[in-house]
Amino acid sequence: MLLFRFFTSLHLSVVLFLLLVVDLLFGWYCLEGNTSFYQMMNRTGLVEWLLTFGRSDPFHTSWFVVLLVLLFFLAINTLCCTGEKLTRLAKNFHATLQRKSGRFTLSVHLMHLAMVVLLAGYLLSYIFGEVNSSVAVGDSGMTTVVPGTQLRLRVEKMEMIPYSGKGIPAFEGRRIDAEALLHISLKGYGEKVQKISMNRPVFFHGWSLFMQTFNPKSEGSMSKNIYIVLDVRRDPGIPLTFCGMTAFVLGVLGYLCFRPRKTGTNENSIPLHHKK
Amino acid sequence: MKILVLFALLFFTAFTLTCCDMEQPASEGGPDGKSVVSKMAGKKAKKSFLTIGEFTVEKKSDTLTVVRDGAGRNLALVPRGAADPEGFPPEMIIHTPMKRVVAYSNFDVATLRVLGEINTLVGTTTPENRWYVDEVKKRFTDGSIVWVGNSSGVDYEVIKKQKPDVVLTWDPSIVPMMTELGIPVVITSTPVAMCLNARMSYVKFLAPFFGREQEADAYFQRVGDSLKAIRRRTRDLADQPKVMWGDMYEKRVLVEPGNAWIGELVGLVQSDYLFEDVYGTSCIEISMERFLTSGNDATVYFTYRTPKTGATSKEALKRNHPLMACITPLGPGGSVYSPLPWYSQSGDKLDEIFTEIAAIIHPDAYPNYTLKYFLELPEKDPVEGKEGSKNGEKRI
Repeated sequence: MLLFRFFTSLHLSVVLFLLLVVDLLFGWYCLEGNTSFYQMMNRTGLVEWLLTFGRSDPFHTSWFVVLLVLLFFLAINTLCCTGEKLTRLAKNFHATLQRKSGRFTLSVHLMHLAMVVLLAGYLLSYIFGEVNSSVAVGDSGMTTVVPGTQLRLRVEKMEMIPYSGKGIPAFEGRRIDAEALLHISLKGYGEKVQKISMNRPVFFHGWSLFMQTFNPKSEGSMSKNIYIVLDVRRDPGIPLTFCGMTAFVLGVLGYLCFRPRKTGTNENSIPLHHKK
Repeated sequence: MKILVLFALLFFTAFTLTCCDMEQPASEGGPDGKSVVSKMAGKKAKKSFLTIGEFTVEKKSDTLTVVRDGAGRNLALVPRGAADPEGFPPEMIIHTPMKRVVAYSNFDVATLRVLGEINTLVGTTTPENRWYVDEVKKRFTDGSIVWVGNSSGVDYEVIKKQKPDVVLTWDPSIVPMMTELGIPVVITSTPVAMCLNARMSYVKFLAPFFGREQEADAYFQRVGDSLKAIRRRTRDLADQPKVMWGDMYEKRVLVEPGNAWIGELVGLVQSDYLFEDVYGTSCIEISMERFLTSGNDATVYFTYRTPKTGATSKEALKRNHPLMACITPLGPGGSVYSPLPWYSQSGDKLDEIFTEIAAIIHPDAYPNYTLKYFLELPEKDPVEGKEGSKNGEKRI
């Protein structure tokens, strides 16, 4: 009970937020000029990154570890507070739903819960996600096997999207995107042909394929080889992250729709310049 | 609540103490290799995990070293005769020491020289007539090395015929074909420019491929010593020249970003690098306006062009790109330097190159220094026939 009271304390939230500010200030210092050090986490996952990069350079990793701990406590704090409030509201749930202010309160709690779900989704992605970065697939019709998997990729057709505007003369003749018709097959799961481009990832039986880059970037490029480079991920955190996002959007909508507004025209609500 | 306050105080104390540690000279700190000078000081921790920019080397056991190449691909290095590790497809397993190598990049070839493994080179994408390294030219002559075609379109049959243990390349598009041929590929370029430490320690990335870690350490020490000497000689200089490194082409302006080794080196030799705030890949594109604005402040300008590609004089540069004429170094008395053709093949002499750059930026600190890798551009083009060996006769 004492522990529950500790975690539902508003003081805890305030202290956690203050510590987060201090920690992120230190993180800002560490990040400056060292982004590639942290970018490696996207390739290795959290645990391997901490055991390798983190262990080899604890000075630049410490703020991140502290951040994880603080976010963990903040999530517990949020869950306990929200849980306590929701338990109270649940006692008279129908009445709460009928009142506009009740729906507003529920929306706020939904946003809080959504934040925790989002954080959990990301944590899941970085702990259990599998990443195969920089898988090159050429347009020569050759099949590329993603290392360590049964996933086979082949580009069937590729089209470069040139810059068509006139505003940036330096971009004339440049390719700003590439669209490739990607043939994907996975042993036991069949095959699929789908278009992929920089902003259009492909999802296939738990695998997500993102276009990292493409070549050539311009007509007169030094490197003439035509290929795309993909990041191939298996990310168990995606469903949770999407749930969190949806819940947060619903929470925001609820917050906007049901927020209490002052009605009527009592004297205090009249702007000063309208008063005689 | 007291516990919380105590926790906050403890955290604040720890943070303050850590910050005290930050008050090091500007040349130290940072995983991307800013701790160059301190690392030279002899504090060498024996780690099983080594980061070299975006490359990593992790010694898992006596029979398995996992390296991560510039594209983030994990490759297994296994001593010849040892069993192949599980979890790695055949094209990701390299048997060491390697005996036959095809290399795209001149810097990779230079690194082979550092490791004493130039004899393993069996193919390059630079044709024989563009080499200035005697050992390479000689091996071309006796047929040990072949030209495998232009880097934008290599001849896979020639590569296959050479039976390399590995292909060192910057081009990921060859991976599917090489996989088909059963030849492992190592991507030796990175999306972000190599910092000073990564440039110096790159040799440590290739060393385990040949079992030449000692040679790599000795080279790193040598280059590190030269950096310390440069720092000693330049740190008290009052004059702080402003340096820019890049070029304007027909439609593009490319420069070396501040995170590249050049930017860090310029900062280390008591001078200002004008593109310090630019971050990204080597030869990064910036706007023409930015280039020209920085050009007004610059005192020393390094162009990418060699004398063979048009940088024969300041007048030639202005003629090539009239807009560039307004930058200060191209004006009368300004300093413009162009790399000589063998500069890009001299990655095994980083100590000399660093010293030469320091001597260019601070000529007073290096009196009577003779340039070997760069050419100071004259105001006007030299008269025909008086160029001598400067444009390409040298052997290194």
